[in-house]
Amino acid sequence: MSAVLDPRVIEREIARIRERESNPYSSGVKTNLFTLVIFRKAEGHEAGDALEPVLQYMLGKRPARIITIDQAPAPQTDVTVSGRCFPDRRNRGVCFEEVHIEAGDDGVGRDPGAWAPLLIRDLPVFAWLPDGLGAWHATILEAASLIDKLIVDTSRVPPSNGDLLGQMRGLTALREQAGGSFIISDFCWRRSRVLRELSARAFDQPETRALLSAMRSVSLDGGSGPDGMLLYLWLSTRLSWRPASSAQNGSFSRYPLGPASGSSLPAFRDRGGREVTFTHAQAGPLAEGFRVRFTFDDAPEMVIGCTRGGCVSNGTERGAYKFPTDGEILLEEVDSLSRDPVYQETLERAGLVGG
Amino acid sequence: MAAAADNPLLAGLGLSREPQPLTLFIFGASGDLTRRKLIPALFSLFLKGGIPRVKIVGFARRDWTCDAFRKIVREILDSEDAPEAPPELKDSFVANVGFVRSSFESPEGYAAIRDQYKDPPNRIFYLATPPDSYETIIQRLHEAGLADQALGFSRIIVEKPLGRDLRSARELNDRIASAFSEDQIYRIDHYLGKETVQNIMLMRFGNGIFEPVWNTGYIDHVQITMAETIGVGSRGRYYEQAGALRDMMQNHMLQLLCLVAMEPPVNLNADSIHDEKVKVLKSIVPVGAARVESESVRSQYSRGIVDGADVPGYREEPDVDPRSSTETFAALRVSLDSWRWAGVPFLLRTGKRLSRRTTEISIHFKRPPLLLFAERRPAATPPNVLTFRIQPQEGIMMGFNSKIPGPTTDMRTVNMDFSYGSAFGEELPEAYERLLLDAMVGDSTLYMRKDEVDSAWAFITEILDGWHETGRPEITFYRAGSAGPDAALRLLGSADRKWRKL
Repeated sequence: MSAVLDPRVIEREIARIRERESNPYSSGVKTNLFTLVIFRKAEGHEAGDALEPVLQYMLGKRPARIITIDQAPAPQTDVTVSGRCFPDRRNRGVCFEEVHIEAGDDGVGRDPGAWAPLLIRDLPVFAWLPDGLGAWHATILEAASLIDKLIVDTSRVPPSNGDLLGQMRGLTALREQAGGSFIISDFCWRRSRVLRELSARAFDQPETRALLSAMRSVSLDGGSGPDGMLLYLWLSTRLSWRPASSAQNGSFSRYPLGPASGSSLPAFRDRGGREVTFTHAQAGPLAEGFRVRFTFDDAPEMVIGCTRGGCVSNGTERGAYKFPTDGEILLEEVDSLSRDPVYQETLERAGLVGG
Repeated sequence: MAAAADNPLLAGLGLSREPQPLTLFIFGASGDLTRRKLIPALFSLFLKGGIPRVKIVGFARRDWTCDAFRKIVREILDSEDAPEAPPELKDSFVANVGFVRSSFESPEGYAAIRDQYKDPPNRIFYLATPPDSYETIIQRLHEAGLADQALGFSRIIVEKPLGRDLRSARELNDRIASAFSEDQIYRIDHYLGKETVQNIMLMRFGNGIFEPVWNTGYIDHVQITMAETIGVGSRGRYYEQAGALRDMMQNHMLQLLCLVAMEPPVNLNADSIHDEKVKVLKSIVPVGAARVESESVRSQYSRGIVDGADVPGYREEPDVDPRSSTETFAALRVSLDSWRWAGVPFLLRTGKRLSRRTTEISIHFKRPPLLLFAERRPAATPPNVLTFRIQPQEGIMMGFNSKIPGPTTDMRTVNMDFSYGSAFGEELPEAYERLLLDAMVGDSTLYMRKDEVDSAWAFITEILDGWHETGRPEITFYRAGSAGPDAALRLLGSADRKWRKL
């Protein structure tokens, strides 16, 4: 092992910083709740990048050890240790212990053997891949037994390599290869909850519930490609739709997914064998407004959606929707070690049809 | 709301906690409870997106217009009682606020509710008023047809005190029941909305390690303490009629006792939990006139120093009779006639003007059957104590014995301490927040059912009657700022037991 990643030295340094940073008048017991390991690609992780506000939201709320591993264009791995505490309203310091590893060409930083001793024993380990699985596949696979939950964000997959189904299939494959030892969760799934929630409410009356089996098309205006993909895949699992041409050696009919994503989705057929079409236009963040239109056999269309002024579900005003920030989503993720079976089904469906 | 089985899209969404559109009418909208607790709690729920379709309407006799009431609500939102938020969200909340100006007696006010607030048809009436107004309000609501549920639900939330003895509690319950059915009535005990109180059940039934030892085989006794540093302040008139036994013991403390002593419910339905709590209350061995002296202590604070300042004795407080015999401290030894708790005393104490503000439950375990390591100093093996700190410094602490480093087998107690503050940095939500949301979604789990209130009053009324009939135990005095009267020591019943330090 490289001396630069000597865990004893790092632990000593963390203890020293913790002593210095913590409030000497605080009566709170110093503790940690989990370790969060962040794996980032080489580009875009300069100081002040998009992740910082997300972590900042959690600072002062959950004490944790944060290990950030960056792919670095340097010959050798480097490590820095820092800490920060935020006093809560009662002046108790709630701290982050931070280890930043610049994983260089020597391969040391990528090797779980180098950073695994820094994971706090007996506490959950969350692996967060904000830029997608990318080049971290082998590392994650090797460290699978140490990880309790893998957190991704499919909406951050760049359109240029936007094989979204492929990405999702990669995740399910990874989990299978790892013997199903960790849970997978997705920021995008949480973010797009509003689509599922308003849809579920719209069909929650006896007269509208009957329309579920008569649905002919779903169209989404707004939201990202992954938002649309997750909505359509979710509907397909909940309503037991099947890929349109699954019997024909995987040569599915496909619908383009989002105006800029470059991805496509297979078409699905309902239980009666009729195709339920999906279209997606007007990409943009859901929080800036969206509309989903459902059409049916022999029934007027139904619309759900939100604008900045509030949401509507099948003609019923539902007031403003609180779109979660990424910080809130991360906090929710690190507070839970339970598997979301509906997301799991959706993910598996993506794996099934993403060939 | 349909079950997930009926609507496949609902699976996994957990949507049942959002209330249907409703109007919450607050009677006593000009009062302290509305200002300090209800409006801040409602605003906090609003900020979390939990009550998007809830209107709030104040009802009071003050000469206010709707705009004036909105201005007052806006001031509350700007005060430190309310959570911080951008001005536009405060404006958005205030836009959903209305006001009905009326006395509680006037039928016109109720007609205004009926005629001007038809939509949405669901209504909740929160009686944040003195209890002597309840009868009138309930009667008028009934006469105006506002308790009917033909078009939407109608619920009523009532605050303590729910009577002052068994008879008056039953009268009050009958009065409410003459207009509202039991499933429409929400009897609030804000203690049950506290996170740490809810955590008692989660701790007991969400962990496998506690239930096997949660019985007479392993537990020596249980202490429940609610100590306040404040005196009666401006509530002298009320307190003279109440006293510590009615004010704290009958509701908060017996509810805490239920949570510690109850059997695991078959499920988390409100009725299943209420059933188990009622079983506990019914298993309490009555303390009638014959046992009142041995099982209870009553005392009153005299002048002393609290938080560094001289404070007057109770009899010197405003609106208090200078010869008052009202107890400001009460302690009880409660026995439960049940298989689980036979022989385990529950020691309850509550008081004002004590040395420290604390609410806690401590479970005192029995010593090991063989004191292997205490040959020389048996007292050096203190029993294990599991403490639930309800407030302040919310958390859970377990004391256990550990070897002191060195060539002997000497040991000392060390603490394993879980503190909410060190594990979770954000503020715990206000109890009223949870309770209001529960009432809106029709979940009465954290409210009190009629038979709970009845059973609690039945026990307390016997003690009050015993005190009255026998004049025993004599009321003693304790110095303000102390840990309470020495008389409480006799309830311990064993030299081995001690009250936990305040």
